[in-house]
Amino acid sequence: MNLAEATISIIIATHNRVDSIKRLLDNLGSQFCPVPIMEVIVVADSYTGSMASLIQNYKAPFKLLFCETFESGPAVFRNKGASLATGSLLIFIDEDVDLSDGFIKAHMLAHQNKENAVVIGYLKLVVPTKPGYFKLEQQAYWEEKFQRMRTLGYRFHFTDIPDSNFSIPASLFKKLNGFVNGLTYREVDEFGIRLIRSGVDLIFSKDAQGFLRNVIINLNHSLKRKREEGKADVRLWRMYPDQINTHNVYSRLKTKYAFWLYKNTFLLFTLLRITDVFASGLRYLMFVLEKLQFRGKWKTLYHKLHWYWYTRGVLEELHKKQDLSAYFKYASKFKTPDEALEIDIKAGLTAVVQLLDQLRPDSILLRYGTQMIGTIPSKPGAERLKGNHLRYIIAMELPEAFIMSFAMDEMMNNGQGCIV
Amino acid sequence: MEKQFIRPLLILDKKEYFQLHTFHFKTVDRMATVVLDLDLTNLPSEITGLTAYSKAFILIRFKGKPVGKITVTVYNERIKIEQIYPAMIDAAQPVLKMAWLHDFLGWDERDKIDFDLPKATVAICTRDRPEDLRRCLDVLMQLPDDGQEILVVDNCPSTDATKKLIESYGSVRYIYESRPGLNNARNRALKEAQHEIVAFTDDDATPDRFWLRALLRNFNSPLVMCVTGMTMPLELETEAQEAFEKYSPFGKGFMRKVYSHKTCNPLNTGNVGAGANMAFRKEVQEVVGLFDESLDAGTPTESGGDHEYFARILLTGFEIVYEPDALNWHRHRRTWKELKKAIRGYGIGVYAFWTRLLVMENELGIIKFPYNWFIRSQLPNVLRSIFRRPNSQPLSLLLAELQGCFLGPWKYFLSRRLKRKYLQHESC
Repeated sequence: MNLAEATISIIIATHNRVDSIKRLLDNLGSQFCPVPIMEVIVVADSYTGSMASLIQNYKAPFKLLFCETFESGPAVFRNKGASLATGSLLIFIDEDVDLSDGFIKAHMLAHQNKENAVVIGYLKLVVPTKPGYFKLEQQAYWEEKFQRMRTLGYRFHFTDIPDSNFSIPASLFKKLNGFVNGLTYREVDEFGIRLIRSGVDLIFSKDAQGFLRNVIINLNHSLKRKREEGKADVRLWRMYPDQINTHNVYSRLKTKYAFWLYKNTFLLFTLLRITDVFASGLRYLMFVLEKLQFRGKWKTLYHKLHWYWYTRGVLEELHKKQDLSAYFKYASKFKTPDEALEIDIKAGLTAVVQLLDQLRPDSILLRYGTQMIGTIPSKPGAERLKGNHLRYIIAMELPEAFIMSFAMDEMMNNGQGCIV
Repeated sequence: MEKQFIRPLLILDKKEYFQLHTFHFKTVDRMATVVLDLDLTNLPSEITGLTAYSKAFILIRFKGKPVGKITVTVYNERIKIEQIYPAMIDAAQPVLKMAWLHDFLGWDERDKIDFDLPKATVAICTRDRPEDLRRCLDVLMQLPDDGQEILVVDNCPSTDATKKLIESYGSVRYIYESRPGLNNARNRALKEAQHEIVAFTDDDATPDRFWLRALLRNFNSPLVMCVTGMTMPLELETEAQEAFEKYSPFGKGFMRKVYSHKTCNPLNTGNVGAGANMAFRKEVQEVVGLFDESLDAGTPTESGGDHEYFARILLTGFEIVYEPDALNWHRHRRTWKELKKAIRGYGIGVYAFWTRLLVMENELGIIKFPYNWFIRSQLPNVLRSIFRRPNSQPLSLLLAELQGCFLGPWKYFLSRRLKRKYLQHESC
């Protein structure tokens, strides 16, 4: 994208939170935007009195457009905003984000000289000074999500795109036909799958930083959301079976519910109604554990409850026996390895990196000379392999195998051991 | 018997880059342990001239990175490297493999796509130890210039020797802190520091050449609030120093670790690091608070201030990275009397900071810690010592530690009372 010709459209979805919108608009007004044209489009499902008053009276230093839509769902809001946008670069933000100085500039710089790229901005969670256990877990999850994208050679996955704070060329957004409605909590993930499949580069920009105020308010909300995510993941799996990793869910369900799953789904769902009551009760136990400061037990229960409600959502969506059978049949079947590209590291890392950048394979068979190191298999939902992934993958996933292969090859060729 | 400090008199092989950290005592009362620093990629064929030593403590490096340590016997005043090489590789194996791999790949887990090294203030809190401080500053002057400042906080000194010493170093800032207590000095350093990161080293420690860079590289995530480094013994000339290194080494291993409330119990900070080698973001004072001035050296609690602070950082949701590449060398207590006092002080400090966490932070989870420590570690060690099992710790040290533990809570309340009185006196 040529920055000199770029124009920006910022699309904000709102649920009539007037204070949040006003703060965000003030923030945008104080941004240094290196191009003269910037427009902000605020989309809501309907306007309350105070929002209507804000629309009428707000004086912005940029072109400001408010619009209503009578359908619900964040996908609808974003699509509506994008349809009205005239800018060449679209930035999607939610109303509960405070922007850092240089936010817009950072998004623009990340797109410089790139035609088809999606830039993911950093969202920092705002936590109170003495956060409770739940906020600590949220903060850790959130930071881990963004910090791993900063690692050299990180292989992006469709789940890396956040719901808020990402930018995309308008032409690319139109080419992909925007978001699909009806996948609660997974509209952006579904969009991400299409982005990955079309070979778009994903880029992380730390400087395009927003401060997130209200992610998930409390534990109850978090558990409810997990259940909805389970359901949405099944719907996503139906649309893109080869992009969703079903193995984790399958292996756990197989261990605990194997008999019920295959024999009698009626009994299974009756059993689940009982376990639902039990799980709901355990939620209150977490408050007691926090009061007594039993950290380890709190954390264990936290993860177990989230897993339970996620799996519950999956099973709820697969409520018919034939659906369950189809899901588990798919998850359990042995997947033959893809045609992997065979690569010899002994040819030199630079040469191998260039080859990967050229070919962008889905999976690789790695060798060192005469010794086989291992396979980097196809990863559902992840971008195709490229050169800068290689070092990261060897260092993080195949270290021992690589070292052993190197040592064996040296021994066979030179007849002597080496330092490793 | 006169003891003198003489720079190495060893007849070395022709490898000019061979480093040796040692002081040579003119004494024949006992055979000491020489401390050596060897790099696997630049090994001499032998080391000679070890006349007063029966053993050698070797820090093993791979291309400058510490990967292991080993203690070997000195035969006929020399060490032949080919004889100890397999043992060195064995000792360094787990870390060496990864170090080699990352070097081969040209990849480092610390590297991030958009990270620039922040600037640092190196802070040394000192009291009446100008000779130790001089040695530390001489080494700090040799660090690569990354725009760091060096700050000396002179804590309630009895003479102006430190001030005069600092005047001879043009680029070192001198701060006088009148309130006694190491944590007062640390807090003063945090407030006075001009740069984003504040790195602390003790006045009786000498940092490695790339110590500061190794610390700073780990501030690559906003959740990292503190980085601690590895501390090796500068010398093992006396029995007390050897006993300390065996009993309670400052070094916490050769593997980099990230501590957070997710990966460990935030109250269990014994292995996170040590105050002789730590760095913080300057903003830690806003988000976590300052060091508790009722803890650590210069107060009745004698120690514990650093570990208490580590716990508070983890409790607030931040991370602490232990980075073994951030290496410094510490001169342990030389005499048995000083060592016992120090071990007793550690016992007081641990129980004092646990008391603080219980009383001030309402951390009920601390209650099981004294029980676990006593039943799983202290009592078995005492029994092993009484029955003279191999490799048991000296009973006098174990009892000194227990004595300290017993006194810890009371010492903490006493320290707080004294602090209140001091502040009242100051305000009058």
